[in-house]
Amino acid sequence: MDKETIKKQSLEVIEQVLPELDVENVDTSASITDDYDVNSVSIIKLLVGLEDKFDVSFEDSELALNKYASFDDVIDSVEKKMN
Amino acid sequence: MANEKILDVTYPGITSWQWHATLFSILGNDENARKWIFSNYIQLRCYTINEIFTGDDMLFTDMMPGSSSLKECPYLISSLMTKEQVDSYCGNIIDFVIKTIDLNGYVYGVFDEAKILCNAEVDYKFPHELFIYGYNIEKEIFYVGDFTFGEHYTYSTVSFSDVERGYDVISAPEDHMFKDDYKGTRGLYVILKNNETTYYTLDIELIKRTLKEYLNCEDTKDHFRMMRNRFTDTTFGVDVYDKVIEQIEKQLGADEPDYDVRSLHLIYDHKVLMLERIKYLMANDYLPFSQAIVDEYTSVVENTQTARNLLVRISITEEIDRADRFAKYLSAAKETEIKVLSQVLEQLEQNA
Repeated sequence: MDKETIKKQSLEVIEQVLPELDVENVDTSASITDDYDVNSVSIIKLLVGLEDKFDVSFEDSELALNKYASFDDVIDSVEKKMN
Repeated sequence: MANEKILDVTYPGITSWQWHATLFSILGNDENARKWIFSNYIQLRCYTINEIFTGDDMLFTDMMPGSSSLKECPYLISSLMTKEQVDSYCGNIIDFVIKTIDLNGYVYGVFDEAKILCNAEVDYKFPHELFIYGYNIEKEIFYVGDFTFGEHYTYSTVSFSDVERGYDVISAPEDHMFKDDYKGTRGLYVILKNNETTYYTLDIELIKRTLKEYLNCEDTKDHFRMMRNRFTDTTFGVDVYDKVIEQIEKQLGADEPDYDVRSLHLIYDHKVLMLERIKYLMANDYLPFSQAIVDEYTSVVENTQTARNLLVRISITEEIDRADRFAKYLSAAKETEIKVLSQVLEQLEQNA
């Protein structure tokens, strides 16, 4: 799966997990905590959603919010697991 | 009276339990208060209580000082106001809170947050402490800090009318903040910042003594028998890890699993604060700088964080079969913490 497709499908999961976000206008390089209020619980919901979507698996130690500065970091981690 | 007044708050580094989040919201950025904070919050303790909402057994885990910190911290002046006083002085809770904030006082008390503040159609009460730090008359809102309005501790707003309803329906036995020490009454804390003068220096002797008690699982409450001597089933220090492992295995092994994450979050916050303390001691020459100690203690923080996040994950996915990993993460954290804090204690003793 190419990077653009992974990003597009990841944004669909982000929209499901964080319905208050306007995904069309999300800046995926912005801070997920400061700009989008992602917290230690919602990041885990997002990662679990991505596991289901892409059939990948996150290690327990990868569930920490401080591992991801932006949605790009989250999407990159999915991409690495797929390739 | 201004249309709006918002007292200073800083998002707290420690969000376990409302009393800690409140104290750290008010004082977390104050350099003098940090010396009191780093001298305390070292010992951990846990014991079983009845969950106030369900009546079920619950392992209550906390740092010392616990909820009494709001009364005991030298950088806060906390006054207890009974409901009768509030009614007599102001006639209603809304005016009382506004006048208190006008006098730079924060308000902290038990409100029903179930069907009142959350507007949920439920037939039970959810008595919970609410921290109020501001108001806006035109919008008829209070600025509050609480866990109830989001997935984590958040600053948000609550309408005057919801605060009034949430306050009025709580009876004295439901006011858990008052009922332990002031039986038959209920009320509020009015909290003033008292940080213009230095009242407390970093207490290395207290840090050393409490670190020893933490590592040796000794009864730190024994020093405070003048104030309290009721509990006999308390576990102290690093033994708390084992109690928490036991509790998680029990709650996840139940027919209807319980995903209560509070003890794990408290333990994680305790490690975050301990790492800050170690760095502070090194930066201020109480300890020689050691990257190895910082790195090893960081692994303690990470292992407790991983254990907490795993329980959050299991609460979402209900993958109970992952539960056997908790013991691995928490046991690794315990082993490394004992090693690192023993080194820290030894170095503090050598520097004495």
